[in-house]
Amino acid sequence: MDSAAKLGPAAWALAERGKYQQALDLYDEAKARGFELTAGDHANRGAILLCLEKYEEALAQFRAATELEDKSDRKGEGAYLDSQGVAQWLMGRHREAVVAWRYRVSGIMTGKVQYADLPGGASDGLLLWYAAVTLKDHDLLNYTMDFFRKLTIFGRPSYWPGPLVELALGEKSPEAVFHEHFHNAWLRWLLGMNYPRRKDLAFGTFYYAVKLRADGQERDCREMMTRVAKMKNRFGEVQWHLARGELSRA
Amino acid sequence: MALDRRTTRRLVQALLHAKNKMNGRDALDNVAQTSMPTRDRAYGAPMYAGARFSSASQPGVAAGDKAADQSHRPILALRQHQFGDSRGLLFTGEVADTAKDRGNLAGEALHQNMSPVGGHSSVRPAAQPTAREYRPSDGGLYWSKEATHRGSNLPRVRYPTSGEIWWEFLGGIGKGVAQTLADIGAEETKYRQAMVDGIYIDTPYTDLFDPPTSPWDNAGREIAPGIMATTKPVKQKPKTWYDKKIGKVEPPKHLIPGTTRHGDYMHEHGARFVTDSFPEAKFDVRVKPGQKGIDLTRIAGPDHIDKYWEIKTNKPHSQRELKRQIQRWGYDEPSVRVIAYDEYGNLYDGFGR
Repeated sequence: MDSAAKLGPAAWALAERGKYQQALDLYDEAKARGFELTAGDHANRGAILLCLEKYEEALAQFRAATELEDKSDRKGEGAYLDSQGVAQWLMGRHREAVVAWRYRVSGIMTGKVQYADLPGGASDGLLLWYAAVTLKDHDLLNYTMDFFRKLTIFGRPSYWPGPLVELALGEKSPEAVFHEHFHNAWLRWLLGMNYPRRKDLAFGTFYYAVKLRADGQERDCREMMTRVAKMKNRFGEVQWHLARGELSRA
Repeated sequence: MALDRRTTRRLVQALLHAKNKMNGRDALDNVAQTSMPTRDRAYGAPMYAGARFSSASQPGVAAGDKAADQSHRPILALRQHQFGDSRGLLFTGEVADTAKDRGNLAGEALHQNMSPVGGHSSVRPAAQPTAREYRPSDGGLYWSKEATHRGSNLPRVRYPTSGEIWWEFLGGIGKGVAQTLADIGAEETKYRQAMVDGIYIDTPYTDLFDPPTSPWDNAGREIAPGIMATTKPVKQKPKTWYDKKIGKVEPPKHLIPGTTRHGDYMHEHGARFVTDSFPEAKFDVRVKPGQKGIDLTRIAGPDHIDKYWEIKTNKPHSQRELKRQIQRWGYDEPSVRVIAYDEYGNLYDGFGR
C-alpha cells in the first residue's frame, strides 16, 4: 500500500476523532507530494471543512469532486450534489441548494441518474423535502411528494432511509419508523437517556423534525433540531450540519 | 230453547274443532319447525299451510274422529318429553325425515330419534296413531305413501342443552383469551416480519452504548431460522474476508434460485450487507434492478474501503462474465470487490468454494 493510500485512511481516522485541521493537513501534504486526489478525497475534504464551518471552501471541494466524477463513467450522476447543496444551504443560498438537490431527484425519476442510495434515492428526496417545507414552497412540496409516491412503488422503501419517506407521506408514524430501525432506542432517547449519537439516529431525528414542521408544530421541530445539534458530530452527517444551521438562524 | 238436531250437531262440531285447534296448534308450536304442518281448520288434522285438503282425499278422516284425537297424543307426548322431565333436563328431539317415519305425524316420525341428554333411552309413544295421508306443500313435510322420496327433505333439529350452551360460552371466552394472547405474541413477530421486506434487523443495546469498533456494528443477527431473512455478521475484519464465507441471507421460500427475482433479491440484500458493513462510508447503489453498470460505488468515506463492488452468483460463468464487464467498463480488475452468493443464500468474499 503506497503512501497516498495510507494518507487517506489516516486523515479519515483523524477526522472521526474530531481532529479536523490535522486531517486537512494530511490531505494538503498528499497533494504537495504530487499525489492526485480522487473524487472521494475531495468529498472527504469537503466534509471536514463543513465540520470547521468553512462552507465556501467545502463547496469548492464538492464541486471538484463532481467534476472528477463527470470525467469518469459516472458522468451526469451528480453524486456529490447533495453535499454541494448542503454547503450552499448553510451559506444561505437556498435556491441554489434546491437546484442541486432537484437535479438528483429529477435525474432519478427520468433515469438519467442511475445510482443513489439503497432505497433508490430517498436521501436526495428527503433533502428536497426539507427545502420545500422550510421554504414553504408548495409546488416543490408537491413535486417531492410525487417522487416519494413513485419511490414507494418502484424503489425499495423498506431499506433505510426508506421508512422516512413513508413518514413524510404520512403512511407511518415516527414511533413505528424509529422502533423498526432502532428497536426502541428512540424511545429511550426521548426519555433523555444519554448514549452516543448514531449516524442513522441523527438522520432520522432530523427528518422527524421536518415532519413536525410540515405539520405546523414549529416549536416541537425546534426542539428536535436542538437534539440533533447536541449530538456528538459523527463525521459525514450532513443533517447534523443542517440542524446546527437551523439553530444559528433562529 | 230447544235446539234441533242439525244445530246441535253443528255446535258440537264447532266445539270439537275449537278444542282440536287449540291442542294441535300448541303442540306444533312447541316443535317449532317452519316446515311442520299447520292444523287444518276444517278437519283438525295437521297440514301444511296453503295445502288444499278435503275429506275425500283422506279416507277415514273426519272431524272428531277418535283416530284424529289419538293422533294428537304423540304430539302432546312430544311436548312433554321435549321440554323436560321432573328433573328439568332438556331433552332433544329430532324430527326424523327418513322414509320409515312417513305416515305418522306425531308418532314415530317425531319420537324415533328423540333422546334426552343424559343418556336416557328413547321415548316411545304409547300408541301408534293411524297412518294418515297429507298433501304436502312445496318442500314441506310429507307423509304420503305415494311420495316417499320427499321424506329426506325433513330438516333435522337439535336443540342445545343448557350445559352445552354454557360450555360453548365459556369455551368461547377461553378461545378468545387464547387467541388474544397468541395475537399479542405473534404481533411482535408479525411486526418484525413486516419490517424491511422480510429482513429483521435487531440492534443490540450494547451496540448503542459503545462506540463502533468494527464494521459489523450495524449488522443484524438471525432471529428465526428458516423464516426470516437476516444477515449474519462474521466476527473478523474486512481484510480477512477474502475467499471466505462472510454471511448468509435467507430469501423467501417462493423465490427459486436461478430465477430473476431470486437474483434481484440477493442483489438487494447483498448491497445492504455491504452498506451495513461499512456505515462510515457512503455508497451509491444502482437504482433499478437490471441496470447496467457496477452494483455499488463508494463515493465518500475512508479509502481503505474498496470503491467498486459487484454482487454475483458463485458460479464459474459469473466470474467469466464479470471479467468481460470490467474490461468493458474500463475498470481495473483488482479494484472491483466481489460479493458472491450461492443458492443457499451464503455470501462469500469473492468467488469462493
